[in-house]
Amino acid sequence: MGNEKADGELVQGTLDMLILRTLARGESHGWGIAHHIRQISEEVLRVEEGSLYPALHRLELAGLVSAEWGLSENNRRARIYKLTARGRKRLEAERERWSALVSAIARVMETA
Amino acid sequence: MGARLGAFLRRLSLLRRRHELDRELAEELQSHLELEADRARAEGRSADEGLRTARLRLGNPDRLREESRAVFGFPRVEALARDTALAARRLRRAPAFTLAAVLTLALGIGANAALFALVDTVVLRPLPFPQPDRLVSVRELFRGERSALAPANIADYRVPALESLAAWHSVELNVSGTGRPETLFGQAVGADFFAVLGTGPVLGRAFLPEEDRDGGPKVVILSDGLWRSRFGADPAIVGRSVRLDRQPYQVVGVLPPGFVTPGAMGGPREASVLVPAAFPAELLANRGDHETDLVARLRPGASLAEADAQLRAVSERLARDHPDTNREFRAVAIPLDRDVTRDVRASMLLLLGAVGAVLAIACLNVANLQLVRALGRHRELAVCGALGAPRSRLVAGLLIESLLVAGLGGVAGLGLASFLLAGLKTLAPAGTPRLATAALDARVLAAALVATVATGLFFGLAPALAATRTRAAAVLQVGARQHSSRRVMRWRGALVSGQVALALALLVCAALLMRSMARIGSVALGFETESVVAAQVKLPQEAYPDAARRLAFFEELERRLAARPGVAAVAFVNTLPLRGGWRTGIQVEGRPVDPEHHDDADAQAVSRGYFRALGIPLLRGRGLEQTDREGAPYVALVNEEFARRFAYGGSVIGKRFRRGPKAPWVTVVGEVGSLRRDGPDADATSQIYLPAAQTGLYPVRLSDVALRGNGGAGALTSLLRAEVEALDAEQPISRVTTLDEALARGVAPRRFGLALLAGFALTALALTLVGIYGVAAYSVGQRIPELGVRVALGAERGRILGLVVRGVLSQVLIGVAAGLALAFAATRALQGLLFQVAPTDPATFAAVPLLLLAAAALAALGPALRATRVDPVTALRWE
Repeated sequence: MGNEKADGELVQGTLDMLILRTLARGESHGWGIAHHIRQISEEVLRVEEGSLYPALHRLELAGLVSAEWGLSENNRRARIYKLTARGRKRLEAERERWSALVSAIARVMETA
Repeated sequence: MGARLGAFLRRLSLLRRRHELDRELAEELQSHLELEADRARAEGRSADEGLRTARLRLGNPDRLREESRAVFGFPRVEALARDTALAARRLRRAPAFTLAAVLTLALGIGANAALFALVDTVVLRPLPFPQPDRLVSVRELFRGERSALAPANIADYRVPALESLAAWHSVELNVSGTGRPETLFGQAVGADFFAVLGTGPVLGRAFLPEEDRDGGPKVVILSDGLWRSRFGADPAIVGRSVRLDRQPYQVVGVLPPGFVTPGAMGGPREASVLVPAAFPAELLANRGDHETDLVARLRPGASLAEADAQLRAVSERLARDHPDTNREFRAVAIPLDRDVTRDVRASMLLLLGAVGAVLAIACLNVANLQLVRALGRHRELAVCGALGAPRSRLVAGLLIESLLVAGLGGVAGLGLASFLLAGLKTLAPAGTPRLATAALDARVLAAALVATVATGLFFGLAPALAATRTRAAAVLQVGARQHSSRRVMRWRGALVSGQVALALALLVCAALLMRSMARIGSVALGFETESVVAAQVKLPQEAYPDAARRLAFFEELERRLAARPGVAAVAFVNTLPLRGGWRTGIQVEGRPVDPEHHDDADAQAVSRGYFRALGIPLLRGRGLEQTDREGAPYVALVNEEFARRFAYGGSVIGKRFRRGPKAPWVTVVGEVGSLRRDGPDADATSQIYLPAAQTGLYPVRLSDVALRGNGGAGALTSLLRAEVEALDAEQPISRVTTLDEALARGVAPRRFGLALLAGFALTALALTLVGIYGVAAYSVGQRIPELGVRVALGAERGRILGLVVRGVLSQVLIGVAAGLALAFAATRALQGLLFQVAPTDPATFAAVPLLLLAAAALAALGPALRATRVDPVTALRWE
């Protein structure tokens, strides 16, 4: 299942990090998160909504985000996600891991 | 870890709100779509277009829901539940397969559960005492063989590794006074007995050290059974006096119900009284007098090996200090449970192995059925695989089906087991330790559960792997059937070979036992057992303090009995054949004394009528006469074996022997036929017969009476009881059997082993033949197009027949070869049960495989005949 690779597909495990990062700016609903990631990455990263919601539920179950029904900016009823303290800690850990990874890859690419 | 547990608990709590969650998810997606539509409108596109792109990006909402559910729920458990329901539905749709498989497994599991219940109770279960693994039996070995232990050595055996130890040995006491006099079986025990075992009386108290002393107060502890049956469960029994061996004994305690002494566990009767061992001073002074057992508890932290090493050191010291008595003896520590079950352990474990083989054969049969079924679903499985189902899931589905079948088989098997166990208990030899308590308890259920799951995996795994291995492309191609079925045939061939091997090993074991039994039945005992009633009249020391008085009692009893109509012969003796005996060292005149190896012989003190009552022929010389009494010259009769050993071919008449340097010389006056005293499977030893009337010749006590006559055992027994009571109203008779019964009891363990093994072997054979038939039938079915071509090309029927039968027999032959090797190993464990048959008996090893091959050929014949009737036209249109 799901072994079809496409351009712009997220590196495995990074979707959670991106969601956490987005929520670090402030609470948001699913659509808002997807929209934000797409916009900031200048349409390079396309979040599959099909994997966004399961990812959000997974994070919620793990206690990294909390969710409540609320109203969107344009007064639509939506499920609003918020970063928890635990989520904030996880985000920091992920960010460090990520930058270490990126700089390591960069070093390999430049010296090769 | 904490976070994972938290997530798990949250999931559990969400499980109940799953419908709510589904609704929430739907709402959330709906809101997502609306937000997208809003956005499209804001950007000037139509809302419809926005919705469409959003739906596209969201993908299949069902899949989304499933994935979301997977986050919140237990996807594996749910998949398992679905697969189980599916498997159950498949089984319902194949009732013939399900019934055959369940019945086969029920037979295997049921037989195993029943036998396991028996073996577990008899040999495996821990003894019913606290920390039973710390209990040891201290034994003395005489030249490596078990011997009773000398009480005089006990003080030396108090080694550091043993915390406490106590002597115990069987005693018989006559109870009289209240109700009919009877002989009670009991144990004489050391004062520490209850401290060693870790339990004690429920009423009253244990024995005190001062009671375990020669000349100490006469005290007794009653078993729960005796307390209830003879004393009406009198709660005030403690302190009261009971009459044992004509003397008052004070009751100091009553044992808890179900209490069994270690001796009673190994012996035929439950101990109903305990008395202090109270060894007399002269016994404690004589290290050569071996007559007790010793039970001990290991000190905390000490090991059995330490205890054994310390006892060895003590034995070596005693051998140096007391060479006359201790040189040949060595003390060892054996786990108590091993010691108690020594006689039955090996054969019980062998039977367990045999019934395990039956289960394995049953499994192989079901594996065969399962393989055919899995093959029928080959394409379905291949399609599932092609559509992305992981192989693990397909294998799991098939395994679940197998486990369901096994589970049904297990449940049916337990039902069967309760019947089988009841049968086993009636069939088991009397005196099998702890037999009565065998039941389908938690331990048996646990074992049955393990067996069930193991069988499910065992017969399910191979077919599941075989059926799911093929690549989809190969199967989906037309004509691929040939390709896959050939490999499956190999699998099935291997299964048949395995069955044949196991069945052959079982059949060989059963055949060897059967030959042994036949030999035993044809052995001449040397005496007659038919219509001879044997009973013990144990005269208590207190009432009959010397040999002359005991002799007078028995002579009067003999005279009275002989005068009664219906009595053909009467005899009295210390111990009748098949009931134990007395062995003594002897010195034959003129034969040099070998200090390393003393001569010995079985000895009996017999009345004159003994030889006529038991039908023992006089071969030479004269029999015992009225005149052979105390005061007349000492005489004896000896048997053929004695004459052969000590007269060197010459006449034994007139030779003299004595029982020791201080004993009087005895002249041999007659030679009689040899007996197998201990039963048909024992050798005839050198035997001497001393006249009971020459009481100075023997130290043993007269106690057994043999009565031959007509009117049946019951009539003779009441006659005997009446005459004994007429002589002494307080005197009971005990151990009443006919010699035929005693004989049957002696061979009962062997007969039991044979009956079970024969049953298992025949079941195994039947299951195997069914398996062979199945494989032959299947192979014919597979080869119908090929056979059709052969027939069309003019192949003769005989050739076709040969082709099919040969194909099956080649697998059977492989199984026979493996089975012979297996049988070779298995029959060595059987050795103790064999009689005059070698474990590698060539006739058996030749005949059984031939019979098995013939049976296999017959099983294959039906399908082979079908093959010869293949019509070429239909065959070519096949499939």
